Amino acid sequence: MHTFLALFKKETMEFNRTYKFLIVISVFMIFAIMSPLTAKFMPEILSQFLPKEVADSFPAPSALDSWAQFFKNFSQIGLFVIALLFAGTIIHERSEGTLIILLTKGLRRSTVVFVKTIFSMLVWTVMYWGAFGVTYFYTWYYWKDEHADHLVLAVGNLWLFGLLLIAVILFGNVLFKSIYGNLLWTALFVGVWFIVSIFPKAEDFNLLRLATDGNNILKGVNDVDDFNWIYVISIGLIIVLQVLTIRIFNKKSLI
Amino acid sequence: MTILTLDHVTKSFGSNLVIDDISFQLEEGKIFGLLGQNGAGKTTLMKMILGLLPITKGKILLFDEEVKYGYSPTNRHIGYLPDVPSYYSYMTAYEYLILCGEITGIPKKTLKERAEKYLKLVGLEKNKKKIQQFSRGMKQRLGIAQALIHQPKLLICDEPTSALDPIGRKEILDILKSIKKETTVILSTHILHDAEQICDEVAMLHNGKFVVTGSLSEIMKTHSKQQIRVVFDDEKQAQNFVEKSEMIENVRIQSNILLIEATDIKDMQKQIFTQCTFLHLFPSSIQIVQPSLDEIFLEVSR
Amino acid sequence: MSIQEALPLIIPIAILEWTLAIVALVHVLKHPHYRFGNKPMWIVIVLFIQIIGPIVYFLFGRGRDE
Repeated sequence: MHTFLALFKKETMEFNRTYKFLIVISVFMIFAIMSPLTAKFMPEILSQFLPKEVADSFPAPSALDSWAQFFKNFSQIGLFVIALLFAGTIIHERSEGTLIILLTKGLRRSTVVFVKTIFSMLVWTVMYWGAFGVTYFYTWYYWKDEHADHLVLAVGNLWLFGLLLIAVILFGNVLFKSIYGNLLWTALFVGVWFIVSIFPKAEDFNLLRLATDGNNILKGVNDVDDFNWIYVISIGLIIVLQVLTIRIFNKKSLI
Repeated sequence: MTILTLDHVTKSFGSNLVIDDISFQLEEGKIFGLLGQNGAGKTTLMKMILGLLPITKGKILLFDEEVKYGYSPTNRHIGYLPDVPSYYSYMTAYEYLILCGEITGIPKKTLKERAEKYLKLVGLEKNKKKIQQFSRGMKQRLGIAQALIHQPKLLICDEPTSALDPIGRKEILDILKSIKKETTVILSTHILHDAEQICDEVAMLHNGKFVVTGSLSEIMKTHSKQQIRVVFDDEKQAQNFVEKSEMIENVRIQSNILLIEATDIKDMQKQIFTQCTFLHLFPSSIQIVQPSLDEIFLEVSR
Repeated sequence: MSIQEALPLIIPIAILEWTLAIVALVHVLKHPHYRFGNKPMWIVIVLFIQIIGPIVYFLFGRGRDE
């Protein structure tokens, strides 16, 4: 336990002193505020490009539009920033050799992987739900009489997808020696599920729906039962990836 | 008490045999110098002792406990200073020591005192800078502090002085000397001069074997002939002396200086004195010189 | 929607963007070592490319030794 805490403290200090907290807080907050803002301004923006009659024919922006922006922003830029911040978390330590001294002091490699996973997931969780709170507040402020159903389910799904992506990124960290290799691997992982989503039969197992079905849930097209298999697979995959990451890292030479 | 035992230790990388069946024991309370050229396998051997590299054949014992590759509990007895230590550059020396101490499980209260104590030992106690601003010498000194933070029985230093200027080297050697009472030290070096200054015992690693082992004085006695150094006023006198002295068989002339080798050094000394008187040549100095480790090293690695 | 109506949104975004830009600018000026590029280039980038400029600087441009 004491090694877990010591390492966790180190990760926090590193994240702070390498300006990563600053980055993640500003990006997440900016996009949390941007979501209702874009929704609210959409008619104005559209009228710049489209003839007046066409623009006027669009319905007035609603709370659902604000959440649609939220899902778009965080499934793309939000996750991309997370990937960027954690793609090198182990790769960097290996190339710099900073773990050698700590490992000779009795630190287990599995603890290193575990702490880094928990830390990344915690950053994602806190920042993401914080951003959710901000968007929630503004959406309530501008559309007081509108109520979005199943909001927590929709937002929670994207959160789970983020956790899965972090497990994938951590796995890439022990597979590759360069951050670009890891980013490519992560993109490939997402790309494969895009291909899977072409096949309607695979719908029940398509993990990508965690990130893409937010609007459908809010509109009542999908409910929680549609995701049962997806939950089982993603949580299973997170655990399997974590075990594999530790196994592979244990065998990697660090010198 | 025996602190470290190498039992037929062999290490090969593919077909490349780096350590060839070494058996060896090290007693506590010594500074042990592991000598050898770059690439002789010193670092490999040290990393095996630390469980950072798998052992191909044989075993390594620390006290009576076997070293295991991957995660080795024996490391609680060992402090390690890598040749080029890498730290978290955004930390201060104090913060880094606290991290190291927490990982080894030192209780909070003791840890603070101890971090301060070892920072003082290595002369970094007033340094509030981030490690990224440290000089090589400072990093090396911090390396010793972090290696000692859990008060290990054995300190392993890989080339602790090789990247440093003479002042930095002296500082490191002085620190190592000062901790000898509590901690056995193994240091590797290719700078034999450093080993001569502080090591009680040395081993020379060459072609995967310990070609010479023992205390420095023993090695000096057995491994190289002593010489007598005779200094004359000029070259002519020196040559004159050599020509007229039949008992001298093995000699090197460096302008006005003679280096005379002999099996019985005392007898040779006597003969040189008489010969000098006889020839009316009066050298400005006659002295017995010990061979340096460098010379022994060259000799055995030939 | 009028600008006034949007002020509760625009003000915090502006504050965040400028915090990011100014922290980055201070860092650029204080630490003249970069992994690539030079001081004027980074000043322009962190000040004029909102959000992305400072992020690129902190993640890729910031030098090792402070």
